[in-house]
Amino acid sequence: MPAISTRALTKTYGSGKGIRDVSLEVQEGEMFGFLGPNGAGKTTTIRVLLDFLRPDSGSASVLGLDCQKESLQVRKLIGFLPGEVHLEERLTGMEALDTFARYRGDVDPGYRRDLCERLDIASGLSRPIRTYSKGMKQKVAIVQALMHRPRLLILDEPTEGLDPLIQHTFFQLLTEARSQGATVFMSSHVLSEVERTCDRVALIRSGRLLVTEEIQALKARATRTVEVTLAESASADAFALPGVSAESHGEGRWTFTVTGELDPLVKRLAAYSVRDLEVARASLEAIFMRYYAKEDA
Amino acid sequence: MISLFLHELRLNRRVMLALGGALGLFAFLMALIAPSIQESLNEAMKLVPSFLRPLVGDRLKATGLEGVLAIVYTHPVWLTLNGAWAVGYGARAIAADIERGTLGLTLAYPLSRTQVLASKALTLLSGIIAFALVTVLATAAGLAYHREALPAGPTGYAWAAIGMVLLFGCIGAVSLACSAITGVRGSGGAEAGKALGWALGFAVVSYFIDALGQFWKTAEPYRVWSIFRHYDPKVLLAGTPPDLVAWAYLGGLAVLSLIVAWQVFDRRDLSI
Repeated sequence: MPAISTRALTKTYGSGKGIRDVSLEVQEGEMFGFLGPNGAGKTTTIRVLLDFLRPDSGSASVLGLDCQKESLQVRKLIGFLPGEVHLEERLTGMEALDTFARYRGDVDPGYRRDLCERLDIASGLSRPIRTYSKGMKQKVAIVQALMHRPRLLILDEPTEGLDPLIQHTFFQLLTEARSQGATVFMSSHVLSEVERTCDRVALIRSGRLLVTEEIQALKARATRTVEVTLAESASADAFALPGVSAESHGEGRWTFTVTGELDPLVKRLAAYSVRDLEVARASLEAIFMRYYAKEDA
Repeated sequence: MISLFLHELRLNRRVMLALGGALGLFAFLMALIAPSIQESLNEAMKLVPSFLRPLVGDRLKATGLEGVLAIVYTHPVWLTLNGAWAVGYGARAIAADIERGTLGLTLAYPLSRTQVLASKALTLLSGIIAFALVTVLATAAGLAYHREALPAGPTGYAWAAIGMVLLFGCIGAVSLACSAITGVRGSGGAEAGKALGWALGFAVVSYFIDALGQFWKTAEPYRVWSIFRHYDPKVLLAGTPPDLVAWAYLGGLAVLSLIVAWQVFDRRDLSI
Protein backbone atom coordinates (compact mmCIF):
# COMPACT_ATOMS: atom_id res chain seq x y z
CA MET A 1 0.00 0.00 0.00
CA PRO A 2 1.51 3.37 -0.94
CA ALA A 3 1.99 5.90 1.85
CA ILE A 4 0.85 8.69 -0.47
CA SER A 5 -0.96 8.35 -3.75
CA THR A 6 -2.36 11.12 -5.89
CA ARG A 7 -4.16 10.62 -9.19
CA ALA A 8 -4.46 13.52 -11.64
CA LEU A 9 -4.75 15.87 -8.69
CA THR A 10 -5.76 19.35 -9.77
CA LYS A 11 -6.33 22.43 -7.67
CA THR A 12 -6.20 25.84 -9.25
CA TYR A 13 -6.68 29.30 -7.82
CA GLY A 14 -8.12 32.37 -9.48
CA SER A 15 -4.60 33.61 -10.19
CA GLY A 16 -3.95 30.52 -12.33
CA LYS A 17 -1.53 29.12 -9.77
CA GLY A 18 -1.99 25.73 -8.17
CA ILE A 19 -1.36 22.17 -9.32
CA ARG A 20 -2.47 20.32 -12.45
CA ASP A 21 -2.72 16.58 -13.02
CA VAL A 22 -0.27 15.68 -10.29
CA SER A 23 0.04 11.89 -10.08
CA LEU A 24 2.44 10.74 -7.44
CA GLU A 25 3.13 7.59 -5.48
CA VAL A 26 5.26 7.43 -2.36
CA GLN A 27 5.93 3.97 -0.96
CA GLU A 28 5.80 3.12 2.74
CA GLY A 29 9.16 3.49 4.46
CA GLU A 30 10.53 5.80 1.78
CA MET A 31 12.19 9.16 2.24
CA PHE A 32 10.75 11.18 -0.58
CA GLY A 33 11.84 14.63 -1.67
CA PHE A 34 9.34 16.96 -3.28
CA LEU A 35 11.35 19.61 -5.04
CA GLY A 36 10.46 22.81 -6.75
CA PRO A 37 10.97 26.54 -6.64
CA ASN A 38 8.73 28.78 -4.58
CA GLY A 39 5.21 28.86 -5.97
CA ALA A 40 5.66 25.58 -7.85
CA GLY A 41 2.78 23.85 -6.07
CA LYS A 42 4.55 21.94 -3.29
CA THR A 43 2.56 23.51 -0.46
CA THR A 44 -0.70 23.28 -2.41
CA THR A 45 -0.16 19.52 -2.77
CA ILE A 46 0.52 19.19 0.95
CA ARG A 47 -2.58 21.25 1.79
CA VAL A 48 -4.70 18.90 -0.29
CA LEU A 49 -3.20 15.89 1.51
CA LEU A 50 -4.13 17.51 4.84
CA ASP A 51 -7.61 18.46 3.55
CA PHE A 52 -7.02 22.19 4.00
CA LEU A 53 -7.80 22.55 0.31
CA ARG A 54 -10.37 20.54 -1.64
CA PRO A 55 -9.17 19.46 -5.09
CA ASP A 56 -10.98 20.56 -8.25
CA SER A 57 -10.49 17.08 -9.67
CA GLY A 58 -8.44 13.96 -9.09
CA SER A 59 -7.89 12.16 -5.82
CA ALA A 60 -5.38 11.86 -3.04
CA SER A 61 -4.95 9.13 -0.47
CA VAL A 62 -2.66 8.53 2.48
CA LEU A 63 -1.97 4.97 3.62
CA GLY A 64 -5.04 3.82 1.73
CA LEU A 65 -7.35 6.46 3.20
CA ASP A 66 -9.00 9.13 1.11
CA CYS A 67 -7.59 12.52 2.09
CA GLN A 68 -10.94 14.27 1.82
CA LYS A 69 -13.49 11.64 2.86
CA GLU A 70 -11.37 10.11 5.64
CA SER A 71 -9.43 13.18 6.60
CA LEU A 72 -9.63 12.65 10.37
CA GLN A 73 -8.21 9.11 10.13
CA VAL A 74 -5.52 10.39 7.77
CA ARG A 75 -4.46 13.08 10.21
CA LYS A 76 -4.21 10.52 13.01
CA LEU A 77 -1.40 8.87 11.06
CA ILE A 78 0.45 12.03 10.08
CA GLY A 79 3.02 14.27 11.68
CA PHE A 80 3.07 17.66 9.96
CA LEU A 81 5.69 20.36 10.00
CA PRO A 82 4.47 23.50 8.21
CA GLY A 83 6.68 25.67 6.05
CA GLU A 84 6.11 28.69 8.23
CA VAL A 85 5.67 27.85 11.88
CA HIS A 86 3.00 29.87 13.66
CA LEU A 87 2.52 28.85 17.27
CA GLU A 88 0.15 30.46 19.75
CA GLU A 89 2.34 33.22 21.15
CA ARG A 90 0.36 33.58 24.36
CA LEU A 91 1.53 30.14 25.48
CA THR A 92 4.90 28.89 26.66
CA GLY A 93 6.62 26.23 24.59
CA MET A 94 5.71 23.58 27.15
CA GLU A 95 2.05 24.65 27.19
CA ALA A 96 1.95 24.48 23.39
CA LEU A 97 3.43 20.98 23.37
CA ASP A 98 1.04 19.88 26.14
CA THR A 99 -1.87 21.22 24.10
CA PHE A 100 -0.71 19.37 20.99
CA ALA A 101 -0.24 16.19 23.04
CA ARG A 102 -3.81 16.49 24.33
CA TYR A 103 -5.10 16.90 20.77
CA ARG A 104 -3.18 13.80 19.76
CA GLY A 105 -3.86 11.72 22.84
CA ASP A 106 -1.22 9.04 22.24
CA VAL A 107 2.06 10.77 22.97
CA ASP A 108 4.83 9.10 24.93
CA PRO A 109 6.05 11.80 27.38
CA GLY A 110 9.47 10.15 27.62
CA TYR A 111 10.00 10.31 23.87
CA ARG A 112 8.80 13.90 23.78
CA ARG A 113 11.27 14.83 26.50
CA ASP A 114 14.02 13.04 24.60
CA LEU A 115 13.21 14.97 21.42
CA CYS A 116 13.29 18.27 23.33
CA GLU A 117 16.68 17.43 24.78
CA ARG A 118 18.16 16.34 21.48
CA LEU A 119 16.93 19.48 19.77
CA ASP A 120 18.26 21.52 22.68
CA ILE A 121 15.01 23.27 23.63
CA ALA A 122 14.25 21.63 26.99
CA SER A 123 15.55 24.58 29.01
CA GLY A 124 13.64 27.21 27.02
CA LEU A 125 10.22 25.61 27.11
CA SER A 126 9.05 27.54 30.17
CA ARG A 127 9.40 30.86 28.32
CA PRO A 128 6.50 32.38 26.34
CA ILE A 129 6.64 31.59 22.64
CA ARG A 130 6.56 35.30 21.78
CA THR A 131 10.16 35.49 23.06
CA TYR A 132 11.36 32.64 20.81
CA SER A 133 13.61 32.99 17.79
CA LYS A 134 12.49 31.54 14.45
CA GLY A 135 14.78 28.55 14.97
CA MET A 136 13.39 27.86 18.43
CA LYS A 137 9.81 27.90 17.10
CA GLN A 138 10.88 25.57 14.32
CA LYS A 139 12.31 23.14 16.88
CA VAL A 140 9.08 23.15 18.90
CA ALA A 141 7.21 22.44 15.67
CA ILE A 142 9.59 19.55 14.89
CA VAL A 143 8.89 18.03 18.31
CA GLN A 144 5.12 18.25 17.80
CA ALA A 145 5.47 16.60 14.39
CA LEU A 146 7.53 13.69 15.67
CA MET A 147 6.35 13.14 19.25
CA HIS A 148 3.60 10.63 18.47
CA ARG A 149 5.82 8.51 16.18
CA PRO A 150 3.63 9.05 13.09
CA ARG A 151 3.51 6.58 10.22
CA LEU A 152 3.88 9.42 7.75
CA LEU A 153 5.83 12.62 8.22
CA ILE A 154 4.88 15.50 5.96
CA LEU A 155 7.52 18.18 6.18
CA ASP A 156 7.21 21.45 4.31
CA GLU A 157 10.61 23.12 3.98
CA PRO A 158 11.72 21.56 7.27
CA THR A 159 15.16 23.05 7.80
CA GLU A 160 14.24 26.72 7.43
CA GLY A 161 15.69 28.58 10.39
CA LEU A 162 17.70 25.67 11.79
CA ASP A 163 21.43 25.99 12.41
CA PRO A 164 23.66 23.32 10.79
CA LEU A 165 24.19 21.42 14.03
CA ILE A 166 20.46 21.08 14.67
CA GLN A 167 19.90 20.26 11.00
CA HIS A 168 22.22 17.31 11.52
CA THR A 169 20.23 16.16 14.58
CA PHE A 170 17.00 16.66 12.67
CA PHE A 171 18.10 14.43 9.81
CA GLN A 172 19.25 11.85 12.35
CA LEU A 173 15.76 11.90 13.86
CA LEU A 174 14.25 11.42 10.41
CA THR A 175 16.53 8.49 9.72
CA GLU A 176 15.55 6.93 13.06
CA ALA A 177 11.88 7.46 12.33
CA ARG A 178 12.34 5.83 8.97
CA SER A 179 14.17 2.87 10.49
CA GLN A 180 11.09 2.38 12.68
CA GLY A 181 8.93 2.17 9.56
CA ALA A 182 7.86 5.78 9.06
CA THR A 183 7.58 7.35 5.63
CA VAL A 184 9.03 10.81 5.13
CA PHE A 185 7.61 13.19 2.55
CA MET A 186 9.69 16.33 2.47
CA SER A 187 9.15 19.37 0.31
CA SER A 188 12.14 21.58 -0.23
CA HIS A 189 13.86 23.97 -2.54
CA VAL A 190 17.21 23.17 -0.88
CA LEU A 191 18.54 20.52 -3.22
CA SER A 192 21.52 19.46 -1.14
CA GLU A 193 19.41 18.36 1.83
CA VAL A 194 17.13 16.29 -0.38
CA GLU A 195 20.11 14.78 -2.17
CA ARG A 196 21.63 13.82 1.18
CA THR A 197 18.55 12.27 2.74
CA CYS A 198 15.99 11.10 0.21
CA ASP A 199 15.68 7.91 -1.83
CA ARG A 200 13.41 9.31 -4.50
CA VAL A 201 12.52 12.73 -5.63
CA ALA A 202 9.79 14.42 -7.61
CA LEU A 203 10.36 17.70 -9.41
CA ILE A 204 7.43 20.07 -9.72
CA ARG A 205 7.22 23.32 -11.57
CA SER A 206 4.33 25.67 -12.32
CA GLY A 207 1.97 23.12 -10.77
CA ARG A 208 3.04 20.25 -13.04
CA LEU A 209 5.10 17.25 -12.06
CA LEU A 210 8.17 17.06 -14.28
CA VAL A 211 9.72 13.80 -13.14
CA THR A 212 9.61 11.28 -10.30
CA GLU A 213 12.69 9.14 -9.98
CA GLU A 214 15.25 7.60 -7.66
CA ILE A 215 17.97 10.10 -6.98
CA GLN A 216 20.70 7.66 -8.00
CA ALA A 217 18.95 6.83 -11.29
CA LEU A 218 18.37 10.49 -11.95
CA LYS A 219 22.02 11.21 -11.39
CA ALA A 220 23.14 8.22 -13.45
CA ARG A 221 21.20 9.50 -16.43
CA ALA A 222 22.45 13.00 -15.97
CA THR A 223 25.32 14.71 -17.74
CA ARG A 224 28.75 14.08 -16.22
CA THR A 225 31.96 15.91 -16.97
CA VAL A 226 35.11 13.86 -17.49
CA GLU A 227 38.46 15.67 -17.40
CA VAL A 228 41.26 13.63 -18.97
CA THR A 229 44.94 14.24 -19.62
CA LEU A 230 46.45 11.92 -22.23
CA ALA A 231 50.16 11.24 -22.71
CA GLU A 232 49.80 11.37 -26.50
CA SER A 233 47.84 13.38 -29.01
CA ALA A 234 44.47 12.21 -30.26
CA SER A 235 41.91 13.46 -32.75
CA ALA A 236 38.40 14.46 -31.78
CA ASP A 237 37.04 11.89 -34.21
CA ALA A 238 38.42 9.16 -31.96
CA PHE A 239 35.85 10.13 -29.33
CA ALA A 240 32.86 10.49 -31.61
CA LEU A 241 30.57 8.34 -29.49
CA PRO A 242 26.80 8.60 -28.93
CA GLY A 243 26.09 10.85 -25.92
CA VAL A 244 29.65 12.11 -25.72
CA SER A 245 30.90 15.53 -26.72
CA ALA A 246 34.64 16.13 -26.67
CA GLU A 247 36.60 19.34 -26.33
CA SER A 248 40.37 19.54 -26.59
CA HIS A 249 42.35 22.11 -24.58
CA GLY A 250 45.73 21.18 -26.12
CA GLU A 251 48.68 19.32 -24.61
CA GLY A 252 46.59 16.17 -24.28
CA ARG A 253 43.96 17.78 -22.02
CA TRP A 254 40.37 16.91 -22.87
CA THR A 255 36.95 17.61 -21.42
CA PHE A 256 34.19 15.14 -22.24
CA THR A 257 30.55 15.78 -21.50
CA VAL A 258 28.80 12.45 -21.15
CA THR A 259 25.09 11.82 -21.08
CA GLY A 260 24.23 8.29 -20.03
CA GLU A 261 26.70 5.43 -19.65
CA LEU A 262 30.40 6.17 -19.13
CA ASP A 263 31.50 2.75 -20.30
CA PRO A 264 31.97 3.44 -24.08
CA LEU A 265 34.17 6.45 -23.34
CA VAL A 266 36.27 4.57 -20.76
CA LYS A 267 36.81 1.75 -23.26
CA ARG A 268 37.85 4.20 -25.96
CA LEU A 269 40.25 5.96 -23.56
CA ALA A 270 41.80 2.59 -22.72
CA ALA A 271 43.47 2.70 -26.14
CA TYR A 272 45.55 5.65 -24.91
CA SER A 273 48.00 6.22 -22.11
CA VAL A 274 46.01 8.20 -19.52
CA ARG A 275 47.95 10.50 -17.17
CA ASP A 276 45.00 11.83 -15.23
CA LEU A 277 41.25 11.26 -15.14
CA GLU A 278 38.57 12.97 -13.09
CA VAL A 279 34.83 12.39 -13.25
CA ALA A 280 32.61 15.10 -11.86
CA ARG A 281 29.28 13.65 -10.73
CA ALA A 282 26.29 15.75 -11.62
CA SER A 283 24.77 17.40 -8.61
CA LEU A 284 21.03 17.27 -8.13
CA GLU A 285 21.08 20.98 -8.68
CA ALA A 286 22.52 20.54 -12.17
CA ILE A 287 19.89 17.92 -12.96
CA PHE A 288 17.21 20.14 -11.59
CA MET A 289 18.33 23.08 -13.69
CA ARG A 290 18.51 20.86 -16.77
CA TYR A 291 14.92 19.76 -16.33
CA TYR A 292 13.82 23.31 -15.87
CA ALA A 293 15.76 24.49 -18.88
CA LYS A 294 14.09 21.74 -20.92
CA GLU A 295 10.69 22.93 -19.72
CA ASP A 296 11.49 26.52 -20.61
CA ALA A 297 12.61 25.49 -24.08
CA MET B 1 -13.30 18.85 21.40
CA ILE B 2 -13.03 19.31 25.18
CA SER B 3 -9.27 19.92 24.77
CA LEU B 4 -9.96 22.57 22.14
CA PHE B 5 -12.56 24.24 24.34
CA LEU B 6 -10.29 24.26 27.40
CA HIS B 7 -7.46 25.60 25.24
CA GLU B 8 -9.67 28.46 24.04
CA LEU B 9 -10.74 29.24 27.61
CA ARG B 10 -7.13 29.30 28.75
CA LEU B 11 -6.09 31.60 25.91
CA ASN B 12 -8.91 34.03 26.62
CA ARG B 13 -9.05 33.84 30.40
CA ARG B 14 -7.43 37.25 30.95
CA VAL B 15 -9.81 39.05 28.60
CA MET B 16 -12.76 37.24 30.13
CA LEU B 17 -11.67 38.09 33.66
CA ALA B 18 -11.06 41.73 32.77
CA LEU B 19 -14.42 42.16 31.04
CA GLY B 20 -16.25 40.18 33.71
CA GLY B 21 -14.63 42.29 36.44
CA ALA B 22 -15.52 45.54 34.66
CA LEU B 23 -19.10 44.41 34.08
CA GLY B 24 -19.47 43.27 37.67
CA LEU B 25 -18.11 46.53 39.01
CA PHE B 26 -20.31 48.58 36.70
CA ALA B 27 -23.46 46.62 37.60
CA PHE B 28 -22.62 46.73 41.32
CA LEU B 29 -22.00 50.49 41.35
CA MET B 30 -25.12 51.18 39.31
CA ALA B 31 -27.17 49.00 41.64
CA LEU B 32 -25.75 50.93 44.59
CA ILE B 33 -27.05 54.19 43.19
CA ALA B 34 -30.16 52.71 41.59
CA PRO B 35 -32.58 53.63 44.42
CA SER B 36 -31.53 57.28 44.34
CA ILE B 37 -31.65 57.36 40.53
CA GLN B 38 -35.15 55.92 40.71
CA GLU B 39 -36.20 58.69 43.06
CA SER B 40 -34.63 61.44 40.96
CA LEU B 41 -36.05 60.13 37.69
CA ASN B 42 -39.52 59.86 39.10
CA GLU B 43 -39.27 63.46 40.31
CA ALA B 44 -37.96 64.54 36.90
CA MET B 45 -40.70 62.68 35.03
CA LYS B 46 -43.30 64.59 37.03
CA LEU B 47 -41.85 67.82 35.66
CA VAL B 48 -42.09 66.70 32.03
CA PRO B 49 -45.35 67.89 30.41
CA SER B 50 -47.63 64.96 29.62
CA PHE B 51 -47.60 65.62 25.84
CA LEU B 52 -43.80 65.37 25.83
CA ARG B 53 -43.60 62.16 27.83
CA PRO B 54 -43.94 59.76 24.83
CA LEU B 55 -40.93 61.47 23.25
CA VAL B 56 -38.77 60.61 26.23
CA GLY B 57 -39.22 56.98 25.40
CA ASP B 58 -39.73 53.75 27.25
CA ARG B 59 -36.25 53.60 28.61
CA LEU B 60 -36.64 56.62 30.80
CA LYS B 61 -39.90 55.45 32.33
CA ALA B 62 -38.03 54.39 35.43
CA THR B 63 -41.12 53.99 37.48
CA GLY B 64 -39.75 51.11 39.50
CA LEU B 65 -36.47 49.62 40.50
CA GLU B 66 -36.62 47.39 37.43
CA GLY B 67 -37.00 50.53 35.31
CA VAL B 68 -33.73 51.94 36.64
CA LEU B 69 -31.97 48.60 36.28
CA ALA B 70 -33.27 48.37 32.71
CA ILE B 71 -31.39 51.60 32.03
CA VAL B 72 -28.27 49.94 33.44
CA TYR B 73 -28.83 46.87 31.27
CA THR B 74 -29.08 48.97 28.13
CA HIS B 75 -26.46 51.51 29.12
CA PRO B 76 -23.80 52.14 26.41
CA VAL B 77 -21.01 51.18 28.84
CA TRP B 78 -22.69 47.88 29.68
CA LEU B 79 -23.46 47.21 26.01
CA THR B 80 -19.90 48.05 24.99
CA LEU B 81 -18.36 45.70 27.58
CA ASN B 82 -20.61 42.82 26.54
CA GLY B 83 -20.22 43.69 22.87
CA ALA B 84 -16.44 43.72 23.22
CA TRP B 85 -16.63 40.02 23.97
CA ALA B 86 -19.45 39.00 21.62
CA VAL B 87 -18.11 40.95 18.65
CA GLY B 88 -14.43 41.02 19.58
CA TYR B 89 -14.05 37.31 20.26
CA GLY B 90 -16.69 36.12 17.79
CA ALA B 91 -15.37 38.03 14.79
CA ARG B 92 -11.74 37.10 15.44
CA ALA B 93 -12.31 33.49 16.50
CA ILE B 94 -11.62 31.89 13.13
CA ALA B 95 -10.38 34.76 10.93
CA ALA B 96 -7.53 35.73 13.26
CA ASP B 97 -6.40 32.10 13.62
CA ILE B 98 -6.26 31.80 9.85
CA GLU B 99 -4.38 35.07 9.49
CA ARG B 100 -1.81 34.22 12.14
CA GLY B 101 -1.40 30.73 10.69
CA THR B 102 -2.10 28.97 14.00
CA LEU B 103 -5.12 27.15 12.55
CA GLY B 104 -2.79 25.27 10.19
CA LEU B 105 -1.17 23.31 12.99
CA THR B 106 -4.45 22.74 14.83
CA LEU B 107 -6.12 21.26 11.77
CA ALA B 108 -3.11 19.03 11.07
CA TYR B 109 -4.29 17.08 14.13
CA PRO B 110 -7.23 14.69 14.07
CA LEU B 111 -9.69 17.48 14.81
CA SER B 112 -12.53 18.29 12.47
CA ARG B 113 -13.42 21.79 11.39
CA THR B 114 -16.80 21.28 13.07
CA GLN B 115 -15.04 20.59 16.36
CA VAL B 116 -12.90 23.71 15.97
CA LEU B 117 -15.94 25.85 15.24
CA ALA B 118 -17.96 24.26 18.05
CA SER B 119 -15.17 24.94 20.55
CA LYS B 120 -15.12 28.59 19.48
CA ALA B 121 -18.92 28.82 19.75
CA LEU B 122 -18.84 27.20 23.17
CA THR B 123 -16.16 29.59 24.40
CA LEU B 124 -18.17 32.51 23.07
CA LEU B 125 -21.31 31.28 24.80
CA SER B 126 -19.44 30.58 28.04
CA GLY B 127 -18.27 34.19 28.16
CA ILE B 128 -21.74 35.52 27.38
CA ILE B 129 -23.36 33.36 30.06
CA ALA B 130 -20.67 34.24 32.59
CA PHE B 131 -21.10 37.98 31.91
CA ALA B 132 -24.89 37.74 32.26
CA LEU B 133 -24.51 35.94 35.58
CA VAL B 134 -21.91 38.43 36.80
CA THR B 135 -24.24 41.29 35.85
CA VAL B 136 -27.28 39.99 37.72
CA LEU B 137 -25.27 38.79 40.73
CA ALA B 138 -23.45 42.12 41.01
CA THR B 139 -26.81 43.91 40.71
CA ALA B 140 -28.31 41.78 43.48
CA ALA B 141 -25.25 42.45 45.64
CA GLY B 142 -25.48 46.21 45.04
CA LEU B 143 -29.17 46.29 45.93
CA ALA B 144 -28.59 44.09 48.98
CA TYR B 145 -26.17 46.73 50.28
CA HIS B 146 -29.16 49.10 50.59
CA ARG B 147 -31.36 46.24 51.83
CA GLU B 148 -33.31 46.58 48.64
CA ALA B 149 -34.50 43.74 46.45
CA LEU B 150 -36.00 43.33 43.04
CA PRO B 151 -39.79 43.00 43.48
CA ALA B 152 -39.88 40.01 41.15
CA GLY B 153 -37.03 38.36 43.04
CA PRO B 154 -34.85 35.67 41.43
CA THR B 155 -37.37 35.19 38.60
CA GLY B 156 -36.74 38.72 37.36
CA TYR B 157 -32.98 38.19 37.42
CA ALA B 158 -33.30 34.82 35.68
CA TRP B 159 -35.45 36.22 32.85
CA ALA B 160 -33.10 39.18 32.48
CA ALA B 161 -30.05 36.94 32.35
CA ILE B 162 -31.65 34.74 29.69
CA GLY B 163 -32.55 37.86 27.70
CA MET B 164 -28.94 39.07 27.86
CA VAL B 165 -27.62 35.67 26.78
CA LEU B 166 -30.01 35.63 23.82
CA LEU B 167 -29.15 39.20 22.76
CA PHE B 168 -25.37 38.77 22.92
CA GLY B 169 -25.58 35.17 21.78
CA CYS B 170 -27.23 36.47 18.64
CA ILE B 171 -24.59 39.20 18.15
CA GLY B 172 -21.82 36.69 18.88
CA ALA B 173 -23.18 34.09 16.46
CA VAL B 174 -23.44 36.67 13.66
CA SER B 175 -19.85 37.72 14.45
CA LEU B 176 -18.69 34.09 14.35
CA ALA B 177 -20.37 33.63 10.98
CA CYS B 178 -18.52 36.72 9.67
CA SER B 179 -15.29 35.21 11.02
CA ALA B 180 -15.86 31.81 9.44
CA ILE B 181 -16.53 33.36 6.05
CA THR B 182 -13.46 35.62 5.97
CA GLY B 183 -9.81 35.03 6.75
CA VAL B 184 -6.82 34.82 4.46
CA ARG B 185 -3.44 33.91 5.84
CA GLY B 186 -0.93 36.70 6.15
CA SER B 187 -3.28 39.52 5.25
CA GLY B 188 -1.86 41.60 8.07
CA GLY B 189 -5.06 41.84 10.06
CA ALA B 190 -7.14 43.14 7.16
CA GLU B 191 -9.35 40.05 6.94
CA ALA B 192 -10.00 39.74 10.68
CA GLY B 193 -10.60 43.50 10.59
CA LYS B 194 -13.16 42.95 7.84
CA ALA B 195 -15.00 40.34 9.93
CA LEU B 196 -14.87 42.69 12.91
CA GLY B 197 -16.22 45.52 10.77
CA TRP B 198 -19.17 43.51 9.49
CA ALA B 199 -20.06 42.22 12.92
CA LEU B 200 -19.73 45.62 14.54
CA GLY B 201 -21.76 47.15 11.71
CA PHE B 202 -24.54 44.64 12.31
CA ALA B 203 -24.66 45.41 16.06
CA VAL B 204 -24.42 49.20 15.72
CA VAL B 205 -26.94 49.51 12.87
CA SER B 206 -29.32 47.25 14.77
CA TYR B 207 -28.94 49.38 17.89
CA PHE B 208 -29.61 52.63 16.05
CA ILE B 209 -32.65 51.25 14.20
CA ASP B 210 -34.13 50.42 17.60
CA ALA B 211 -33.10 53.71 19.21
CA LEU B 212 -34.42 55.75 16.28
CA GLY B 213 -37.68 53.83 16.31
CA GLN B 214 -38.22 54.76 19.95
CA PHE B 215 -37.92 58.45 19.38
CA TRP B 216 -39.20 58.86 15.81
CA LYS B 217 -42.61 57.51 14.93
CA THR B 218 -41.79 57.13 11.20
CA ALA B 219 -38.94 54.77 12.07
CA GLU B 220 -41.00 52.80 14.59
CA PRO B 221 -42.14 50.04 12.16
CA TYR B 222 -38.51 49.23 11.36
CA ARG B 223 -37.71 48.45 14.99
CA VAL B 224 -38.95 44.92 14.44
CA TRP B 225 -35.80 44.27 12.34
CA SER B 226 -33.53 45.26 15.18
CA ILE B 227 -32.36 42.59 17.59
CA PHE B 228 -32.47 45.18 20.39
CA ARG B 229 -36.24 45.53 19.88
CA HIS B 230 -36.51 41.95 21.08
CA TYR B 231 -34.61 42.58 24.29
CA ASP B 232 -36.62 44.41 26.93
CA PRO B 233 -34.89 44.15 30.30
CA LYS B 234 -37.54 46.20 32.08
CA VAL B 235 -40.24 43.67 31.31
CA LEU B 236 -37.92 40.78 32.09
CA LEU B 237 -36.78 42.23 35.43
CA ALA B 238 -40.42 42.73 36.40
CA GLY B 239 -40.77 38.95 36.22
CA THR B 240 -43.41 39.17 33.50
CA PRO B 241 -43.56 35.96 31.41
CA PRO B 242 -41.14 36.51 28.54
CA ASP B 243 -42.20 37.29 25.00
CA LEU B 244 -41.47 33.92 23.43
CA VAL B 245 -41.69 35.31 19.90
CA ALA B 246 -38.91 37.78 20.73
CA TRP B 247 -36.81 35.03 22.23
CA ALA B 248 -37.44 32.80 19.25
CA TYR B 249 -36.35 35.65 16.96
CA LEU B 250 -33.05 36.11 18.81
CA GLY B 251 -32.46 32.40 19.28
CA GLY B 252 -33.43 31.63 15.69
CA LEU B 253 -31.08 34.26 14.28
CA ALA B 254 -28.26 32.91 16.46
CA VAL B 255 -28.86 29.31 15.36
CA LEU B 256 -29.15 30.36 11.72
CA SER B 257 -25.85 32.26 11.94
CA LEU B 258 -24.15 29.24 13.49
CA ILE B 259 -25.47 26.99 10.74
CA VAL B 260 -24.12 29.42 8.11
CA ALA B 261 -20.76 29.56 9.91
CA TRP B 262 -20.60 25.76 10.10
CA GLN B 263 -21.59 25.13 6.49
CA VAL B 264 -19.21 27.73 5.07
CA PHE B 265 -16.26 26.85 7.31
CA ASP B 266 -16.66 23.13 6.74
CA ARG B 267 -16.62 23.49 2.96
CA ARG B 268 -14.23 26.34 2.26
CA ASP B 269 -10.60 26.13 1.22
CA LEU B 270 -8.15 27.09 3.91
CA SER B 271 -4.83 28.41 2.68
CA ILE B 272 -3.19 27.90 6.05
